[in-house]
Amino acid sequence: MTEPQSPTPTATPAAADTDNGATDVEQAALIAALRAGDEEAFATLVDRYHETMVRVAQMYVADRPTAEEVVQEAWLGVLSGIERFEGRSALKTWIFRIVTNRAKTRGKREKRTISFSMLGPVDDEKSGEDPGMFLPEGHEWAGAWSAAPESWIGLEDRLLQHEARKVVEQAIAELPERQRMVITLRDIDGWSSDEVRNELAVSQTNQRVLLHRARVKVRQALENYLARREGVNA
Amino acid sequence: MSHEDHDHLRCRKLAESMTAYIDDDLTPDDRLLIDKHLGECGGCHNYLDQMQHTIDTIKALRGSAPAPETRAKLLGLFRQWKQDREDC
Repeated sequence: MTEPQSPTPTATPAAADTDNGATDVEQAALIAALRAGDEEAFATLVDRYHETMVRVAQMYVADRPTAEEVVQEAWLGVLSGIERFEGRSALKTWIFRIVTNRAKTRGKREKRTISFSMLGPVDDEKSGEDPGMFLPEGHEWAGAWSAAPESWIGLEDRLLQHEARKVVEQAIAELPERQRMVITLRDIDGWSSDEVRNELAVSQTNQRVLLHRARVKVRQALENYLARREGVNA
Repeated sequence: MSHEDHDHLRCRKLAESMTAYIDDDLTPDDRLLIDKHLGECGGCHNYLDQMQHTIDTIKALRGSAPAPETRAKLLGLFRQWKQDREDC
């Protein structure tokens, strides 16, 4: 295994650690414990961030096994760099910077051309609400619902069933790459919009556009799922 | 479906602003406009509710801890790192 690269703690401004509500005090305690070789502290970080780190790495490399390898290397990078970590960014930001750098390097080596900014203008991706949901131009009520959305109140149980989760997973897997990245970080992993903007180097507006389009598609998939269920139960 | 007087903000425009609304990323004036429309339009009210249910369902995918074997492997790496450091 190659020697872990020196992480760059100054690269990113501190982002609000919204994910797990880690406070400065908790962060300082974790860093001190890690430096002291406390396995519990390391396990806490692994439990908290490992799965998300794999998801982030997967954005840049070909498959999950490669992403797992990258993240394993990143953990070694975290351990070897923790002595030098100056706390100028949040610990989480610093850890994910290491993951991203390693995953990008690995992606380049595999000639996987993946750069968020290289994917072309956001507006090239035709998506958003289906125009057919609204009354067309020229209609007296152009832009109003052609059929009003129905209430999902009372369907919460169905939406939390395993089957609904599979539908959502599938819908997210089928999204264009950038929409998938943004919705994964924002809605699955609970990152703030600032954290996502830093991670993906995307403007606030584009981030919101991508997130909205992604949510629209997942909502549509859930609506189709609920309609199928309705058909089955009718 | 009733069409009350909300020409100023048709449903399509509101639907497109839903993520900005949910993320509280609108000017106070725009927010007020949307709140007013939501109070008058059952379809948009339901659409907002559907989007929030969608987000909740996505959130349910949030991964918990890694698989036990992955965790064990990483803790093994940690012990090795600690050992190597002490040997130095």
